[in-house]
Amino acid sequence: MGGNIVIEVKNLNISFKRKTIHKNVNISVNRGDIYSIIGKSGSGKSTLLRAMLMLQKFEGSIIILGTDVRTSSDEQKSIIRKQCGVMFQAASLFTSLTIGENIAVSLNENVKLPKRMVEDIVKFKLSLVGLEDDVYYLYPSELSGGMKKKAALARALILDPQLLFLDEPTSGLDPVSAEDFDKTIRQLNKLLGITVVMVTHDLDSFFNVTTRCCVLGDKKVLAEGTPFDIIKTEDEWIKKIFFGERGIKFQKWNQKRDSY
Amino acid sequence: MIEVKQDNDIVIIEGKATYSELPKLMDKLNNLSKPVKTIDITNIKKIDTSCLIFLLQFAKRYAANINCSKNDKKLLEIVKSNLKETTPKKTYHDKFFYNIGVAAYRKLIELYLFFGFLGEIFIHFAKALTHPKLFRVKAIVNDIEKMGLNAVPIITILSLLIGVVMAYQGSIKLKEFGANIFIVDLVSISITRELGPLIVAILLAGRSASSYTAQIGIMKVTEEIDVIKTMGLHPFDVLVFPKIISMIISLPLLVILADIAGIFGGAIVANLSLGITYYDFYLRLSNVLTLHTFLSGLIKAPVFAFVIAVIGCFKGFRTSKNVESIGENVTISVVDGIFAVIVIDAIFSVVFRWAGI
Ligand SMILES: Nc1ncnc2c1ncn2[C@@H]1O[C@H](COP(=O)(O)OP(=O)(O)OP(=O)(O)O)[C@@H](O)[C@H]1O
Ligand SMILES: [Mg+2]
Repeated sequence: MGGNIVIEVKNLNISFKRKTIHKNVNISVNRGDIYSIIGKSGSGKSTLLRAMLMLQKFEGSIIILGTDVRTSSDEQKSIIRKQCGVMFQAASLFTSLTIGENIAVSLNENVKLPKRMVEDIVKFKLSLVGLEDDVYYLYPSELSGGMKKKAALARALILDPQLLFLDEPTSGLDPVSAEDFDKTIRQLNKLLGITVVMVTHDLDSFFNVTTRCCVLGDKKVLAEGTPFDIIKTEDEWIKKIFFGERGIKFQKWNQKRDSY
Repeated sequence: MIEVKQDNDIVIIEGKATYSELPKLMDKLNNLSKPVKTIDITNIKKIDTSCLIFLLQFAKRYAANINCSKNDKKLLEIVKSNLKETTPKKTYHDKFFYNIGVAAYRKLIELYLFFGFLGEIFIHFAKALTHPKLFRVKAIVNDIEKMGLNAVPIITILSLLIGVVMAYQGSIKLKEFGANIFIVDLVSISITRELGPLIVAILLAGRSASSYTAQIGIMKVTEEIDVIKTMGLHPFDVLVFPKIISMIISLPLLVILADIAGIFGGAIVANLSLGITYYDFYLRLSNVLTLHTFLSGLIKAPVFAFVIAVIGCFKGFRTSKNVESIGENVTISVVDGIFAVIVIDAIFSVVFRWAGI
C-alpha cells in the first residue's frame, strides 16, 4: 500500500458559501505518526478532519492510503473507511443504543461472530480506554461527558484501524484519564502501528504523544513538522502557545529533551 | 489469508489475523484435535486485538502457551491485563402476561403523568394571568403563522373536496326522491356541526402535535430545556403557553374556513349535478344554517385545540434522552391526539343531545 505517506493533502480549498476556511492547505501524514493539528478555535481543524473523512466537500486532493478520495469509487471509499476509526468532537454516540451496542456496531456489521466473543472484545476495548464493565449496559445519556468521550474512543478503536482520527480526544477528561489516554494512544501506535491524526487543544497531551504536527491559522498551514520544528516558526500565535503562561510545560519538556 | 497448522500439540498460525478472519480462526481452532499445548504465532504477519482476545481465551481453556514475537508479546500483555472474566448475561424468557401487565401499568402511569401535566398547566396559567408579561406575544404570533396560516391551503382544499364528495354521494339518492334542495341541509349541517371541526382537528393533530413533540423532544435531548431553566425561565412560559394559545386562536378560525370551503364545495356539486343555482343554494342556506348550528360545531374547536397542543407538548416532555424515543413519542402524540379528538367529539354529541342542542 503506497509508500510511507498515509495521508496527503494537496492544495486543499474549502469554503462555506462565501466564507473561505482553507486556502491552499498542504499537509502529509507518515505511517506511524501521531499527527496533531492545532490552531485557534474556528481555524478549521474539524473541517479539515471532516474533509479527510470524506464528509466535507472540498477542492484539491486528499490521498489516503494511496487512494484519492475525491475521485475514488464508492467501493474504494468504503474500503478506506473500514480502516479508519473516528471519534468526533462531541462524542456522537448513538443515543438509542447502549454503550456496548454502540461499540459493537461496526464489528457486527463486518463479521459474524458469536455474541459472547463480541461482548468480550467490546469489554476489552472498554477496559482499554479506562471504562468499567458496567457501562456496557448503560445508555449514552446515563454517562458523564468524559465517559462518553472514552466510549467514543472505544468505538473508534473497535476494528483496530490503521488510521485513527480524533477530534479533541482529551477535552472533558480529568488529568489522570487524559494521561491514561496518552499512554493508550502511544501503545496502540507502537504495538499495532496505528497512525493517529488528532485535533487537540491540550498542551500536555500534545507534548506527550505528538510526533508530527501542523498549525492551522489564517486559512492556511502556518507550520508543519515535529513539535520541535514548530516552535522555531516566527508566528505570534505559535509563540504565544508555547511561550505564554500555559506554555511552561513546553519549556520543561524542552529542557528535559536538551538534557538527553 | 490465515493458516492454521497442527503439529501434535503445537498449533502454528500464520498469515493475517484480523477481525475479518476471526470467524475462520475460531472455527479452525475449535475443531482441532486436542490437546493443544502451544500456540505459535511468531511468524504471523499481522494480528489485531480481537484475535488476540480469542487466542488468549482459547489458550486459557486448554492451559496452552502462546509463543510470539516481542512486539506481539507486549500487545498480548496489554490484552491480558484488560481482559476480565465475563459472566454470561441473564436471559429473560418471554413472559406474555408479565409483558401485558407491564404495558398496562405503563399506560396508567402515562395517564397519571398527563393529568399531572394538565394540572401544572392550569396552576401556571392562573399565575400567568396575574403576570400578563408571561404571555409571549411574539412567539404566539409566530406560531399562529406556522401552524395556522400555513395550514390554510391544505385545509381549504381538503374541506372543499369533502363537501364535493358528500354532496355528490347525497345527490344520487336525493334526485330519486326529487328532494334536490335538501342537499343544502345535508351538506351545511353535517359540515358545520361535525366534519369541519373534525377535519381541522385531525389535520392539526398530525401537523402541529407532531412538530411540537419533536421540537420539545429534541430540545430535551440537546439539554436546551435545562438551559432555559437555568436562565430562570419556565419551559411552560417559553414553550407550552405560546403553543396552546396560538392553537386556541388558530383552530377555530381554520374551522370557519373549513366550513365555508366545504359548503362551497357542496354548492358546486349542487349546481352541476342537481341544477340548483348558487342563489337558490344561498337562500336555502340562510334558512337552514342557524347561528346555533354553526356555533355548536365551532364551540368544539378551542377544546380540540387545547387537547392537541397539550398532548403534543406533553409527549415532547416525556421523551427520554435518545433519538429513538423522539420518533416513538411523535407517533404516539399524533395517534393520541387524533384519538382524543374523536373521543371528545363523541362526548360533545352525547352532551348536546342531552341538553337538546
Ligand atoms: N456547516 C458549516 N457551514 C458554515 N460554516 C461552517 C460550517 N462548519 C464550520 N463552519 C465554519 O468553519 C470554520 C471552522 O470550523 P471548525 O469546526 O473546523 O473549527 P475548529 O478549528 O474545529 O474549531 P474548534 O477548535 O472550536 O473545534 C468556523 O468559522 C465555522 O464557522
Ligand atoms: Mg473542532
